[in-house]
Amino acid sequence: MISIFYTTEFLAIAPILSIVCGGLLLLGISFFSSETGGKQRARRLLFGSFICSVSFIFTMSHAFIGDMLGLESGMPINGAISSFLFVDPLNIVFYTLIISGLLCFVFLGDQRLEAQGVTDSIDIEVLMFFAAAGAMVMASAAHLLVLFLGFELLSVCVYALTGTARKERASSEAALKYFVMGAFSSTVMLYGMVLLYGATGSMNLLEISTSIKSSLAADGVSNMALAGLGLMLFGLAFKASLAPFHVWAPDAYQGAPTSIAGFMAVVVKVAAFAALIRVLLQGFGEISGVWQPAIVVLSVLSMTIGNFAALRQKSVKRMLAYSSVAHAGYALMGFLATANGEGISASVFYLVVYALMTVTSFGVVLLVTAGQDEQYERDTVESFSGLGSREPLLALVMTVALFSLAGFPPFAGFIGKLGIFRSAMSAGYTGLVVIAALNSLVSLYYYLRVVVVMYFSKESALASAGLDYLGRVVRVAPITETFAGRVVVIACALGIVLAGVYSEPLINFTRWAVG
Amino acid sequence: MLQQMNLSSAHSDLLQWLILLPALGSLLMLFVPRERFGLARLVGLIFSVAAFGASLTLLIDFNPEFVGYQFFSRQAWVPSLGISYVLGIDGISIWFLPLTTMLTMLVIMGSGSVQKQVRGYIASLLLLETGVIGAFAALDLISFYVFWELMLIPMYFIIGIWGGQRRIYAAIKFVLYTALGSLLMLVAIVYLGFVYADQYGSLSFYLGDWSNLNLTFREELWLFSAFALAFAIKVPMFPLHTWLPDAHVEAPTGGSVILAGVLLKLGLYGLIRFAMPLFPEALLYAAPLFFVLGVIGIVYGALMAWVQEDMKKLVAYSSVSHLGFCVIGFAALNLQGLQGSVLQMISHGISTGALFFMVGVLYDRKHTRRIEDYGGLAAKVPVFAFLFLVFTLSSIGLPLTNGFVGEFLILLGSFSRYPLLAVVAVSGVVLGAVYMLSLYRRVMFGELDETKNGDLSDISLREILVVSPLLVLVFVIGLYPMPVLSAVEKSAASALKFVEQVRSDETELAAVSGEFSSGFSGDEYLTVSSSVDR
Repeated sequence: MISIFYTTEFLAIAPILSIVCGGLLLLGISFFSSETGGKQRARRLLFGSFICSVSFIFTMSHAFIGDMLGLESGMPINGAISSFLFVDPLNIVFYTLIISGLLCFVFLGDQRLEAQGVTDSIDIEVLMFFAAAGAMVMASAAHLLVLFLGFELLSVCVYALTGTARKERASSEAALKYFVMGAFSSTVMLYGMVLLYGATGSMNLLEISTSIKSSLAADGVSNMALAGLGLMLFGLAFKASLAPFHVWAPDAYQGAPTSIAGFMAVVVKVAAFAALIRVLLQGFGEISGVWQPAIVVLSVLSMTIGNFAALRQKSVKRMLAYSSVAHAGYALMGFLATANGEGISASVFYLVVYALMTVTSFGVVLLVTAGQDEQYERDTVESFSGLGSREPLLALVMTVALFSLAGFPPFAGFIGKLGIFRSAMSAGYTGLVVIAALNSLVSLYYYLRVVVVMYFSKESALASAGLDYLGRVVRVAPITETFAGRVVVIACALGIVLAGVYSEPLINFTRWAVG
Repeated sequence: MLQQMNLSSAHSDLLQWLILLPALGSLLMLFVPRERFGLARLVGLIFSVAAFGASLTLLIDFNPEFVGYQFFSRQAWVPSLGISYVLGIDGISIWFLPLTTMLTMLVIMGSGSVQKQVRGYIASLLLLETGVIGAFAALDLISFYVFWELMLIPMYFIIGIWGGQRRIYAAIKFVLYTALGSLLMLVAIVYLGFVYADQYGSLSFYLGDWSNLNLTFREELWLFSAFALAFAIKVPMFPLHTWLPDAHVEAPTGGSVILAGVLLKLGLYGLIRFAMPLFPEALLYAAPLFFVLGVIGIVYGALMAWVQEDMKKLVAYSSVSHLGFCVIGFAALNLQGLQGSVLQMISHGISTGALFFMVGVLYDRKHTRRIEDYGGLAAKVPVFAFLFLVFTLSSIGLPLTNGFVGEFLILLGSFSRYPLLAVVAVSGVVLGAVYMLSLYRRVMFGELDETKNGDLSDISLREILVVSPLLVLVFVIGLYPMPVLSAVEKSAASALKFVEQVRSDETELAAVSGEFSSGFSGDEYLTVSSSVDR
């Protein structure tokens, strides 16, 4: 019995532990290895993949730990570690997303940083590993303090990562802005946790849930608990960049190196959504009537502000930042159908699809701008001009991602939206669905703008001559340098098509994970 | 219900292959080297000819006596969301398959004037073909929506990459207009799916399952509006037509041919296929509006066509006018009207497709579409002049050509319903003759400007080959439209049954409520009347 117990305790934390160990080992390598260049990078990629697959294998064990101990899904195991972490199938989705997001952006790398002479790119990878570990803690936290621990580990690493393009002022500025606002939001969230502790006498989400249930039966939920919930929502909405708590996102995404911006858009957002699901459903599922109006407001604001702001952006990264705000708004709609698991599974499915689309779109932005010098206005929409003839494959991949983001069939974004719409409809929010549909129309316009410059622009004649839109010579990064990145974006684009055409397995998987 | 009677035969596989084949062809284009234009055209031609052959086989195998869907197949696609992949063909859709495959084949044959990124062009055309055929064959609403949107992407690229000067504006306008309608339609589809799940306890988006849905009149009106908006934009009906002239003018010849030939037909097809059985009450309620907008479209389109200086724009506005006829034939909601409407859609596809080819022939030679740049060409290019005349007359609707039968039936059908408006619509026929003949006169007769057009060469054998099937069809349908009409008849009648049902219910209710004006309190009646009053 005891050995089983220790085994489950170990398995509960093993996925996180392996990522942390990976980060530490990488740090060690950076001290002792004097090798540089492609060979070392290839070894690091191999090492990273190994660590991530180990973590992934351990993650898979979360499918049956609960069954093994004869527990219902969603119940914590009463152990030294596992009483602080949910060990359930939902982890598989979140961990997998976080690990794959990490791996994708490690593979994509960032030639731009290397070109700037930031040679210690190994440190960036180390920080990314630790950030991913924090995200995993946050995604499965069953205890508010553990949640905060993960939240801060993730945040601190990402603040630092945002500033890694040290030669660019925008990067430092973005890091500072993000740090100040982020620190504020985590303080607010911490205050919310304290209030919750005061109101319910516990920091464990399931105990809080029981306490809420009993106070509902007695004389209603205390205002202190509601205030605590509200402040926690504030902090998590900030991390998920939901409007009106999104103002940091455009600056941070634009200033940060592209690989880090994509990492934020995938890993940070997934972690924040996971925490939202844990807190709102597993902690406060009983009083969903109280927080659902707030979700409706957040969702409408996020998609509307996100999409309309994205319309006017000149920088592709900034546009993608606003679009990621809008997509967070769509994903939130699933929270409204809590009667059965369908709504949440629709949200989770959307998150998976969103991660695929985001890796692809940020990946292409990264690869396209990788070969360009500093003085170029790298991230403008125009820097994509003539990509259709310069790099047909990358342009095709980007087109798939953009049409999928706009919710066009037969891509996965369509099935994702369909599921979200259906669940919101079944909860009676038809008006919200109409708003979301009209919002996708708005988003179509700015996604198409990129397609227009890639394929239709007058500069495509220049582009076929290897010049950019101002007639300067484009330095395309050699395929050998960007090979790993190309593999990543092509694989993700294939994933988008596959999940759109044959989505049944993924839908079933998310439904099973939500339970 | 009638919708449930379906015939699946060995050829249901063929229908699936017909949809898949062009898509495979366009996928294959990825492996054709970029600079091998000839190879790309050859592969495209092979696939489009194969698709054409498949569609002809289906046409031969089609049994016009059978009511319901033939070549029927139903497979689960995303069962957890209730989405299935249902295909079936009835008398209304059967004729559009060979039309689509034939026009695509001809466009690929005549794609010689496209000289950049040929492989992408062919791939887009083939993908477009898949989308169009799929949309004509799909009976599951989500599958239909997928194909409906699938048409949008290749057409967007065709206009945007191979189009004229203002192609970017036209392409974006085209996509945004169409997407506006279709996104609201998607919401309506999801809503209907939700209603079905509510009433029957299972998930389905299959049209046959939905024909017995219980909707209040208010719901029906809202849902119908969403569907009607999507379809009316596609038709395009009068106030929503503004994207069409831009798209047509900027699109390359092949794009225009497909756009006018088949894409526009999907609007009315959707109304007949989906709106009629799903929302008969709302349709009956809104039919007068459709009729009026149709008549406005006829007259407005004709008048606009009259004053155009650009040949393509003229033909585009003539499409607005011709499709106005199709709309009133549909809105008359009787058998002649509907039969005429479907026939007119097919003949419009043939004659307008051909006219765009002819304009394309001139444009390829002189790179201008302005009417005033031509004149007196008849002497210079006699063969071309003859072909152009035939298609002009067929577009006008001269008896013995294909345009006549459909227009005649439409006017017959609408006269019995709205005599006064039908008289106004007849003026469209007269105006049609005016603008088309004046186009012909200005281009073909008069003084030949030797400096400008002295070097004009006559239509080449290849180009003749491209338009000759259309030439034959102009007369075949004009002289012997019976096969088309008889195939359409059964399906049109069964589609109309839904409307007839409501009509007879309403007259009964009116009679009942007239007799017991105080005592009657049927739920359904109340919802109907109260909503009508609003």
